[in-house]
Amino acid sequence: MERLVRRTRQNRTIGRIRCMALLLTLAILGFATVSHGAPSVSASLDARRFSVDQTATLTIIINDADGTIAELPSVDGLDFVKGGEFKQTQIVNWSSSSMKSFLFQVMALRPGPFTIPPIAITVDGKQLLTQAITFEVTPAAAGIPSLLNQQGGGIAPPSQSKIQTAGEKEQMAFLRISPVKEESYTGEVLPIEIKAYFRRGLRATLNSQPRLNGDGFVLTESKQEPVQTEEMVGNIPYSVLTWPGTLSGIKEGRHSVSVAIEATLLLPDNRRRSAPMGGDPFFGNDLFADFFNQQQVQEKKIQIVSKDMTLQVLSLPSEGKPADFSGAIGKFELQVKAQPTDVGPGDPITLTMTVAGTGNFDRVEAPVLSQAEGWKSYPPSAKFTPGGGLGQGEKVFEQAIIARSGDKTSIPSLSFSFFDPETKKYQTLHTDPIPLRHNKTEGSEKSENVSADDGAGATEGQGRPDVGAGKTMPQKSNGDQSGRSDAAASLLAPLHQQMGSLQQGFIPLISQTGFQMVVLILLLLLVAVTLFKIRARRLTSNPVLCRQREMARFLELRLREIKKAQEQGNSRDFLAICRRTIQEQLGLLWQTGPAAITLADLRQRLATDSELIALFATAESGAYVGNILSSQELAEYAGKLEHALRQLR
Amino acid sequence: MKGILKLKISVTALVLLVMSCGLFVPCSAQENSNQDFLEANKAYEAGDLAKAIQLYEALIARAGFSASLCYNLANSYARNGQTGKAVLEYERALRLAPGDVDIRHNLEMLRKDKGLLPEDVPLVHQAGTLLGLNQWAVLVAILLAALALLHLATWHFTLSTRLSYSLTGACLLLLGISSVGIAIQYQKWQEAVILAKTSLLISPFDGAASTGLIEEGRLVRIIKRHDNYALIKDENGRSGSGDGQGRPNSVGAREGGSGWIPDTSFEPIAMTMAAKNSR
Repeated sequence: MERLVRRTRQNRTIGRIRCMALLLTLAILGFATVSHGAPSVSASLDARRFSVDQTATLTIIINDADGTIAELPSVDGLDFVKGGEFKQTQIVNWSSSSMKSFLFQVMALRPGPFTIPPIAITVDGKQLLTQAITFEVTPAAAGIPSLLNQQGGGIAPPSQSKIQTAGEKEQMAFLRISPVKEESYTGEVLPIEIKAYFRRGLRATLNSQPRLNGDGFVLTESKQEPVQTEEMVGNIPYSVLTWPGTLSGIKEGRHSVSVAIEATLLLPDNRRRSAPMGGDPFFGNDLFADFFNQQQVQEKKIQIVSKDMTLQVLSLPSEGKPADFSGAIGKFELQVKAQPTDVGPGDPITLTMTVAGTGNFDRVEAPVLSQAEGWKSYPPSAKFTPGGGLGQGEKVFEQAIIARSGDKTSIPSLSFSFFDPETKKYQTLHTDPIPLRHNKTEGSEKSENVSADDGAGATEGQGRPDVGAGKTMPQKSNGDQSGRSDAAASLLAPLHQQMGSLQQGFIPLISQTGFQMVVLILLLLLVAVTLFKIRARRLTSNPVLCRQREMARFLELRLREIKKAQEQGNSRDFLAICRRTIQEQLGLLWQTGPAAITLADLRQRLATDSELIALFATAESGAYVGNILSSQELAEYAGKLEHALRQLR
Repeated sequence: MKGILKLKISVTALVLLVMSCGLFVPCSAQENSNQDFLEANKAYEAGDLAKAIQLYEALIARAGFSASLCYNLANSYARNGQTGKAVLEYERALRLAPGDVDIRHNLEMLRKDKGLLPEDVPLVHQAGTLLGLNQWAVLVAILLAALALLHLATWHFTLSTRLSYSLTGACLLLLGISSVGIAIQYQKWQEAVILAKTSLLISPFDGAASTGLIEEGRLVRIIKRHDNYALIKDENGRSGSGDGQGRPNSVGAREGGSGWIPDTSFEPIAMTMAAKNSR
């Protein structure tokens, strides 16, 4: 967002400059006669005294000629930013004069006196020099609210005045590291504080975290955001960012180290800029810029480096190094708890060992049993919890141990060794033995004796399945195999006493033909049922199909009756059934009541050559008149009727 | 007439004799197997593990596999320090009796003790092992039958559309889950067990360069075979070896954790009697 506002301001400035240039050009075009005097160059600074948080405008003017500036001189502590160039031509009494101006913003990176040396300008192939300009840059004005662009941390009230070391006085920003021991041991953790000081009122954006320059040490920063405070250093207020961290020597010898961070300074231009033509009109006025909080800023990327420190890294002494020393350096305390202490033979005991203190916890390993013989120990788990300060914390180890024999009355003492850099000696912490109470059962006594015999076995432990009926525990193993039977093997669940059903191989059910057939049948059944359901649903939702089915059903029924009447030779019944059949079929087809259908309806709605009309007429007359038909006629009639009715569908 | 009657009686007696022999022979064989089984158990309890193993193996070769037989044999191997064989027989026992608590407990304890536990088993795979392959298969059959019956029932009984759809949806969901379970378990069914710590080779030839070691008792999947070698991938999807403390070490094998090992260094879990006897 801030970048966007800055860009908008720059665009507005450029727009004003372009507008002015256009006006000047138009003015020049209005005159035809141009005459030149002797060319001359000059340079001026609009302020001879300004603070580091402000800028001044350097104006270079070329009179009566068109020239170019080859290169601006390089001045230590100064930075030039080109602002634009303008050209103006005047005609008085048909005598013309021209003026070309170049504008530069001058930024000082530190307070003090500065001199801009003569600037070379090429005019018509000749080189002309401006005069040197001397000016003074003062420190930033106090009382400006902090504008440091840094997240996190509250702003504490300014601390007491501190001594400013040489070199820092001129700096707008500097780094300090404190406190650092000049001598340390390989792997020792040195808590440090990295402080970045920025002059109050200075706006800055950090581009990197602090990084270490130099070999031999490793810098570990805290993952927390830096804390922002304010401090007075040499009566100058500073905004301070503080990072906690640790330094660890990784290589023996003397090493020169420093810390650096990258930052971008946003230098505000609070000055009223004066253009050669007398300043910006209206919106260029600083009054409005201030009103809308539209300060001009210039970005300046810098690297802040702390002073070099020479630190000595020593190797750990080999004399007196304990056998269980794992590389822990610092000051530690050890606490051990055991759970449960009321155990049966073979029961696992969980040791909770807490190593707390200050030092390199990454090298802190689990304490070890002083007498491990007769104990089976499992790999410990570790959990580190950081403490309040750097390098402080506690590491908790949990380890399961099992007594290999039942005669253990206590857990032996545990030891943990470390190197104390203050006393420059190794120290070994010992815990007291933890007494155990044995909870002997009948079954466990048996196993305990066995274990005592072979010196390796233990009895069933916690969490194993209950020993049910029909299951027995092994009593002892033979001598030559006892060495291979460890505690875990002796904690096995007992044998099964029933052999169970035997199989000739491991063929899964899904590979057996019988199961595949069953699944196939079920699938086919499912598919068939689903298809039937779909068909049924289709039929019920389709009236035409329903009618056709109904017609077919009635037709089959009636045809059987007709056949029966034909076989009986009953012409009257035969014709009556035929008539009713025709009415039913046509009734279903025409969606009308069958009884209401007459010969007239057939003649009206069927084609004139329809066989049904004649058949219906015969049937109707037969039913009323009582015609007697021969069996041949009956058969012929029945055949024609069936054919005609099937064609209806 | 009398002759015919006599003949009929004779034939009937002969048939009955043959049938009775047929009945008694298997009973006798079963009895012998049970006696051998109990004898092997006694040898185990007496600590004579070599004899117990010999008797259990002979029984399997003669009569076949059973969950209890494999389990007891696995216990014997475990106590005898033969981790690979023990894991193999426990896995076989689990195939036959997936719900047996003793088998699961002993296998888990042995694998934990030897650092053979698989790393980060995905949740889907964990769910897939809730039931055995055969149990998943039976569940599928039951669900298919239930679906078919449900559809048939709707012809004769009036079920609300909502209830019908809910039951169908539930059956289909369970069918989907069961299918995944079958796929997972079928993959596990094809696994083999490393019988001795062996080198993973980059190619299936004698003297080929080794890319690492694979621990005894590790479950592996056989990807393909070439002569007397098999390309395998371990259950963690990589080749590696444990340090015996439950901390597996990666050995940085090529081909994403696969390697060639000789046939003699592993044995498939699921195999037929004939295949086992031929080994």
